[in-house]
Amino acid sequence: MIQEVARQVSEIQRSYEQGSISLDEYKELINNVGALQAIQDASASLEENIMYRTIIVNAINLASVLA
Amino acid sequence: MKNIIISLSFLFLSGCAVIQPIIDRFTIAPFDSNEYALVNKVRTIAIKTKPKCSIENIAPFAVLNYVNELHDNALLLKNYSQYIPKNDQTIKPVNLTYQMIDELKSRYEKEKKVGEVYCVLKIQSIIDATESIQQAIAKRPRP
Repeated sequence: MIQEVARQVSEIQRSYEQGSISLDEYKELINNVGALQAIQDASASLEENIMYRTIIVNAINLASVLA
Repeated sequence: MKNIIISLSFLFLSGCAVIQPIIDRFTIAPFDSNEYALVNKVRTIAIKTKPKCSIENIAPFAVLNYVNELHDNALLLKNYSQYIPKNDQTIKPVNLTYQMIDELKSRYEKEKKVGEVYCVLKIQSIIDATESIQQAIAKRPRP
């Protein structure tokens, strides 16, 4: 994930240096990389919660079967 | 006896405070097919918009029409997700994605000509964001 962020930042940086995007666009796109990282972190956290929840639900089901 | 009851009350109260974050962590909104469909729609429109960035010079309104469609559906998704209980981990990413799309729309409305490179990079961020949200939503437990 860090590599992907670094790749995006370097692509935006290169585009700005080549004059393909304005300073205003450059700032906006760099902010987007931060937002994208926050989105990916939140999604990863949700996936982690779902995984733990599934483990607990399965453990409860197993315990009720064994009881 | 009174002292024991008071002590137990404090224990239960502090116990709830300790347990609550753990309960919150495991109580998540179930899979919502409408929410999933809306995220999928936003991502699909973004994928369809990306190739249009290069024809901006030939047909300036081609991209704008797609961007408007993208904005409408992102707003629909934002409003739909907003009040679903236990949905915080989706609401925040959806709001951030909507903000990105809103910035894109504002730029197309404000400037006569938007650069191809900006358009491609911006749309790619939107595609990545919606893909990430979609992957997380798909794994939610079914009701």
